[in-house]
Amino acid sequence: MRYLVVFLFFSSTIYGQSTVMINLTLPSVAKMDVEPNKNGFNLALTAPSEAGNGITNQTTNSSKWINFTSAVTPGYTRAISANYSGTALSGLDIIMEIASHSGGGAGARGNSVSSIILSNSSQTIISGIGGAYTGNGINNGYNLTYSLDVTDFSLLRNASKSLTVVFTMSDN
Amino acid sequence: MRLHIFILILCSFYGTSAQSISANSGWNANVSSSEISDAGLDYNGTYQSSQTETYVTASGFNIFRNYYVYVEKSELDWNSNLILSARRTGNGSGGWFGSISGGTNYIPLSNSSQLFYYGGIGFSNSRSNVPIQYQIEGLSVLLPAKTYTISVIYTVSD
Repeated sequence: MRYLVVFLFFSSTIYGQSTVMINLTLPSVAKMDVEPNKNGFNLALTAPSEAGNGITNQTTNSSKWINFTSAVTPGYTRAISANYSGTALSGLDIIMEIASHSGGGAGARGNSVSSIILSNSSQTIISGIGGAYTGNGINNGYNLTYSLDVTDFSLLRNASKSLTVVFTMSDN
Repeated sequence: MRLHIFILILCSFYGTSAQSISANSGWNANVSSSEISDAGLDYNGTYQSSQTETYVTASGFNIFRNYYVYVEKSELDWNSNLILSARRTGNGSGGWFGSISGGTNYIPLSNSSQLFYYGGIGFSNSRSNVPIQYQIEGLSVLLPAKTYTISVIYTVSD
C-alpha cells in the first residue's frame, strides 16, 4: 500500500482595527472694533457769515468703520447697538448714519438702519449678524458718518463738549 | 494498488496570525477665539494637533512579515467644509531589520480605507508607538459654533 502525504500550508489573516474620536469645538466669537482707530474727532458749527441767517455750515465725519467677526451657535444672531456717554448737547442732535456693509468679508453680516439720533440710550444700528466677518481696516464693514443737527437755536451756546460713543455687540 | 492520500492541513507558524492594532487616544481640538487676530478677520483656516497626538501600535505579527496600516474616517457630526488629514511624524519602534515607509505627508482622510504606512516587521512581532499628527482645514466663523465629531479608523493587515 502506498501512501501519499500532502501538506497544505495556508495563510490566514485576521485584520485588526482601532478607532479614535476627534472632536473639534468651534467657539462662539464676538469681536468688534472701530477702524482706523479709536481717536476722537471734532464736529463744529460755523457761525453764519450774514446776519439773519441760520447755521448751515457744519462739519461731518465719515472716517470711522465698524469691523467685526462673529461666530454664533445654530439659530442665534447678534446685533450692534450704539449710545453715547456724557452730557447731552443743548439744542443739538448728533446724527449717526450707517451705510450698508461694503468691502471684504463673507457671511451673514447683517443689515443696518440708515441713521439714528445718538442718545444715552442704546439703539440698534446693525442686526441679523450671523456667522460672518467684515474684513479688517477701513473700507471694510460699516461706514459711519457723524453730523450735528440744530434742534433748538435758542439753546445754542459758544461751548465745547466731549462725548464718548459706545458700541456694543450682543446676542439676540 | 490503492493510493492513500493523507492531506494534512497545517497551520504554519509563518502563515497564521491575528494582527491587532491599537490607537491610544483621539484629539479634542478646542479652538480658541484668540486664533482670530483682529476683528474683521476669519480663522487662518488650518488647525493642527500636537505631533504626537495619537500613538499607533500594530502587533501580533510573525517575524519578518510585512505589515500595512490603513486609515479612514467616519463622519458622525461633521461639516463637509472641514477636511481632516493625518500624517506620521515618527517611526515608532520595531524589531531588528524592521522598516516603516509612507505616511509622512498629510493625507486627507476619506470614507474608504487607504494605505497610510507600511513596512517589514523584522525580528519582532510589532511596530509600536508610531506617532500621528492631525490637521483640520476649512475652519471658519461661517460654520456654526458647536462641537464637530468624526472618528478615525486604523486597520492593520499583513
